[in-house]
Amino acid sequence: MLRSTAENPEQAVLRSEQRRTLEASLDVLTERERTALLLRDVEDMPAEEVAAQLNCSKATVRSHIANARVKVRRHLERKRTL
Amino acid sequence: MKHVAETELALYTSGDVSLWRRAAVRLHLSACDSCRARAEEYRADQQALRSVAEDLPEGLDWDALSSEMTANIRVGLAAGECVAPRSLKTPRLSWLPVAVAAGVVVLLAAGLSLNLQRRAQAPGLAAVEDRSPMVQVSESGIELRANGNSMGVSGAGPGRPVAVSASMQGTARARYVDDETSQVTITSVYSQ
Repeated sequence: MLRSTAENPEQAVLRSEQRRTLEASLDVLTERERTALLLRDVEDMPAEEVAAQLNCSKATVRSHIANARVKVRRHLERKRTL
Repeated sequence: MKHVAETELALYTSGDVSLWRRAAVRLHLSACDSCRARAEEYRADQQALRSVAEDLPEGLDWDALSSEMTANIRVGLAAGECVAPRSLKTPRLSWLPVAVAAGVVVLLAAGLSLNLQRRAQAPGLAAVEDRSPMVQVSESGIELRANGNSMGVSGAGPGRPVAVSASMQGTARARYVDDETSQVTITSVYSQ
């Protein structure tokens, strides 16, 4: 993803804040949920490969990913309302 | 209107639902503003996560990182199993080995009992010797012993036996010679 190098200080602060919030939301996940989410969303790894990495079934991986996304979303919403 | 489940919506944005469910969710989103907005939020979260990951140092070995995380998970699971309370299971004996062992014990006991009975019924060496015929020749005569009984010819000869013979068939023969008259007396005893 290409970002504009002409990022003003306000955008930089917002971006830094967004990053901290997102990282904090990852902390509420279990190890397995976090691993599954990172492998799927950041590495863009198919669910089958994530299942092989975690030595579990594809259905379990889907469950981990879904739970992780829901938890992250709720965490972000809680932070937004504060 | 029944809305799409939150978890299914979270999976829909990355295409992690079945083809049939994907079509059904798409149909629902086309008619439901709130679910559509929710799906957009999940999609934005995924984009934000990717964006944050791009801010990580270049050359980060994700394979090593994921392997490390997986290893940590396994260590955690193993540690959990170690500290988990274990139920004390009493060893359960299967009926088959127990039945076989009981059968072997019964056979051994029966064999031992029969052996003891046979030994009790078996004649000893002395009894065998008693029952077997035995011929003894002496100066006083010839004696036959068999089956615990004895018979003999006392004073079988008038003099000393000059020749004595015995066979394994239970025959004893003694020849006596009278010194005065030179009369020869032959005494034979047969055992049957």
